[in-house]
Amino acid sequence: MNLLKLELKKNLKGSIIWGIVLSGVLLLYLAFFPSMTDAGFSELLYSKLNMLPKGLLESLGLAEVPDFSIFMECYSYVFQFLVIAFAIYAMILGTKSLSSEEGNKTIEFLYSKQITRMQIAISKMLASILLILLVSIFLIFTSIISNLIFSNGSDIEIILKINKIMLLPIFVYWAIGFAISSFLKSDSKSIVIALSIFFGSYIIGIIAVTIKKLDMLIYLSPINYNVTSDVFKVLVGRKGATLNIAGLIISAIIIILGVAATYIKYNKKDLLN
Amino acid sequence: MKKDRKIIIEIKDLCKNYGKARGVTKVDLKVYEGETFGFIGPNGSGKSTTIRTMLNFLFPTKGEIKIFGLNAVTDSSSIKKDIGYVPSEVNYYEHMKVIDLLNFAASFHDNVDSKRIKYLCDKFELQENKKINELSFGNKKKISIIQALLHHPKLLILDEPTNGLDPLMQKRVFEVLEEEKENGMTIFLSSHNLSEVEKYCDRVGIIKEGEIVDIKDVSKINFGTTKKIVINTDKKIKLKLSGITDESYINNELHFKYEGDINVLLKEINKYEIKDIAILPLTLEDSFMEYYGSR
Repeated sequence: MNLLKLELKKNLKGSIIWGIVLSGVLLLYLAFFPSMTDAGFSELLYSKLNMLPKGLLESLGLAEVPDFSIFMECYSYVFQFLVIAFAIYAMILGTKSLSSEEGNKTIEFLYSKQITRMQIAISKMLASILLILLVSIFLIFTSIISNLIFSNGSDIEIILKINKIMLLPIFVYWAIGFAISSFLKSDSKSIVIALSIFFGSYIIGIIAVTIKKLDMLIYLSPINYNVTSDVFKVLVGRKGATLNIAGLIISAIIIILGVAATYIKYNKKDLLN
Repeated sequence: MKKDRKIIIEIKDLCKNYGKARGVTKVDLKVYEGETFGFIGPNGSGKSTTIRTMLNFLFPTKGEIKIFGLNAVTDSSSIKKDIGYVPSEVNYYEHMKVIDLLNFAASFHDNVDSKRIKYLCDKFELQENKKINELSFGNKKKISIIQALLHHPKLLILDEPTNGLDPLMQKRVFEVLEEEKENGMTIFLSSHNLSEVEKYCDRVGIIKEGEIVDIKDVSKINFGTTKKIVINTDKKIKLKLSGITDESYINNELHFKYEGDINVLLKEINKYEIKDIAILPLTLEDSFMEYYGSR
């Protein structure tokens, strides 16, 4: 419990900043929504979008161009990019979590106290889960406020569901980050490693979406299993809309494996520094 | 007498390899309740590896360590309830204040109150409200000593504890350790400061190239009639006498050890023109120095 408190205190400021920045970006994009409802603007937008190559549209998550004059279509399109940023934050948080103690050499102090490696890992995991949920609360709050402003609060229930479901890919990258952290001897390269893995998998995901022959590669990119706009369509019961169930199962498996790998590796780890 | 005393640390056939690099190859030792056990050896001999394995920072490749009769790997957390550890390097959460760090350290134990923290901070003249990143190495070292003593540990493991402290504080450290020893605390002291080891330790374990090469009872070490001689001379001289060992020239000084009749030595020296001479008794430090020799 004492380590959990310390972790929360140490990382709270960073989480609040991430929450504010992501909320600001969401508000900034949704501020364009009123102009989207203008018929002339919509027409211009769609005509321009239709001129773009199909592959490019697919890579931008516009395989089916949303109706931007509907708040939730606009919201879910913007939100998928926030999920990417949020996943990066979660992965960095996970990757730095255990390795930063070794990088700063404070781990020697912790190891000399009456606390097991397992308890250290659990405390750090719980702290980072709470910090991720804090960022999520910022996003939920901003989403609800913007819905109240632009759509009279008619979609709050769906917004809450989307925010809940989209935590799944966030925790996938968090778990991958933690597993990596348990192998690192220092946090000096943790951000580079986290970003390389994230964008590596994201690019593979884009390739899988744009080149049909390589569509199985999508499973190397958890962020692309179920994008926000697809989740929204399923939630409103749009015809033909389905969730990638295999993606959901694989996400759950990655989280379980990531957590298990962290415990197994960290419990047997020599402190070499 | 030792047979009646409780064993606090028991290391049997300890081996720790880091891949191709050697850590320790064979460490066997016992430390008894209430004693101060010195642990010395050259750099890279395996002192820190032994300590880090005792504290389960490292897992042994072979062998077993028992502390308070408990296994240092499987019962590490229970053991640490009664252990205080002062590392040679001091790395703490830099953004914290001294008092926050000490409160955090205290939170791992249920027998520490604010009076104890205040007492130790006053004793070591440490300002509680300073931020750790504003402190000098010596003051950080004080934190490491205080956090290790907060909970009245039954076993205190010290790795170069006085490194970075001024002489007054070095003395203060051992005064406080003596106070704690009266309550039955056992001390395991790893240090390069041999006079410190000589002054405060009951027994000394010597480790070299990953192996314990000797364990000595400090009070029973007898140097016989051997003396340490230092002769200051402008010209190099060669004494033709038996009983002279460890001869070396340092600047204009001839250093050697002599065992035999001192009158015979003085007669021999008298044949040469010298500027000064010192005849010194051998100390434990001199005895230990042989272990720091060629590897």
